[in-house]
Amino acid sequence: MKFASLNTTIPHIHRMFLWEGSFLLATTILSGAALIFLTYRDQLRHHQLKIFFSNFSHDIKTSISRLRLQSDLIQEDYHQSERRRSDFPELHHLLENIARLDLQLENSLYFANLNESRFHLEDLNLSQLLESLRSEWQDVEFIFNEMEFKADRRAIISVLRNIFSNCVLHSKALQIRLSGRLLPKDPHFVEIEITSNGEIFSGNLSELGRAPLSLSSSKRTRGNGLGLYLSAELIRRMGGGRTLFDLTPDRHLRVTLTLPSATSMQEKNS
Amino acid sequence: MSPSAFSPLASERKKILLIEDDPTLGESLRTRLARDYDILWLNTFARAFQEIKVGRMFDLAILDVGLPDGNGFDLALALRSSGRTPLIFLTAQSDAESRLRGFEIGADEYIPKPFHLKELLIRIEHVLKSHVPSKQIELSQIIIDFSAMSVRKKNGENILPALTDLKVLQLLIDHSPKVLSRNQIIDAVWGVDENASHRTVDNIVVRLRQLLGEEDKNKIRSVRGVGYQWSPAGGQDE
Repeated sequence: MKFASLNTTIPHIHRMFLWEGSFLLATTILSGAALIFLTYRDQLRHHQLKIFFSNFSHDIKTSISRLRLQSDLIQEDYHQSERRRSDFPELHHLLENIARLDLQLENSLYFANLNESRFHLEDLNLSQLLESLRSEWQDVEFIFNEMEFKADRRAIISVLRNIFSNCVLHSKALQIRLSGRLLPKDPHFVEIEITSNGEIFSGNLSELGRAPLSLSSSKRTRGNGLGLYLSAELIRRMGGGRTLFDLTPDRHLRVTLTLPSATSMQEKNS
Repeated sequence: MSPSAFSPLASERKKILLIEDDPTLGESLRTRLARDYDILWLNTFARAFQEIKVGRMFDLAILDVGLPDGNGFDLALALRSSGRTPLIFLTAQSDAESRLRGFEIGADEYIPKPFHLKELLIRIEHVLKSHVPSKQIELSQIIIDFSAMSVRKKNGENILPALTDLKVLQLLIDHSPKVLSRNQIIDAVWGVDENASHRTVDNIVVRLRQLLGEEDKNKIRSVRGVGYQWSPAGGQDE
């Protein structure tokens, strides 16, 4: 009797293992297939998003170019008519707003693709960059000493635009000073200190350069902190050091950037 | 307004090829740049490629990269293979890879959109100035000064040759080692509206060879069925 009972139990156990094993195998295969499908779908979506961003940024940049060129042409004609700017403040505001729109777009694009951004580091000097940038702030005086460093042109222009925009928008600065020097401890790096005149800094210093937790603008500062955060991030990703935000003795904001020095300076010091 | 052909040429004005597919941008840029330069604005890859293929010469090319039927990098390569026309890319493609590619092709400037008009004008002027042809050239018997359009013989004698003769010589030197057809020389020196003939060009070349002297006359090389070439090493006519 006992043997007969055992004989019937063993095939039953085999069948149970067979079913459970098959179920486990099927589940593993199905899960694997689902994972592959989901990964593929995610990659496809990522690729589509990338194409969308690329087309979107191309179209929007062309549109901003149109606006800016038209307003530059109007301004040029206006200056030739020898009238004062105060006669036509709307044009001045229009130009300022186009420049802000452009900067906000550039920041958004950098922020969206920060982890995938690639940089082409080249030897640049401050005078070249300021020559490009000064058209945007025609009332501002720039005082600087020449300094060569290694950076990605587009990224460093974005960094400087954000810092200058911050000085002009929040402090109403009319003079921006940039002083560069080789780091005495490590001549492979240059340090650029940016200060401005205008109103004294009244914000929270510890928040500057930090990742914005919310992209809604603060009513008090009229900014969301994205620009200065991006500036610090871009400097870091270009091989520079930590960007410092502190105050001068007369309580104006001071931003200190550290970047790799230009090839010629590195060769000279090695 | 549609993309344009050159306005009647004033021979001293620099000629700029502008490739921009956006009608508003293209038209506004053409209108503004035409105050100082002769502008040829084209809005498609095909038309621009055709223009480059026929060998029309420009002092500068401003190229958009994203065109509806092609891309500006390929146009730049075509321009590079046909001569040493300075290049400025004016494009919304401002990522590091695109800029690197632009500079690898030999761009003099890479200006991302949106741009400031003032900055563009400064960079155009800068590129044109940096490509100003050599002002003086010293040969075995004479020194030619293109800024004064004069020639000084090494024995101390000064000569003021016909201006058109020196313009032809300067054109050949600037585009060396490219062979220039008679039509290209006529187009560049006299402009499209004048009635200079092939015979006029041939006569000028004869006078220039006499001016260069026995040792250097072969530096102007005739290429049968094509035109003339400045060959610094000297060479036999084909």
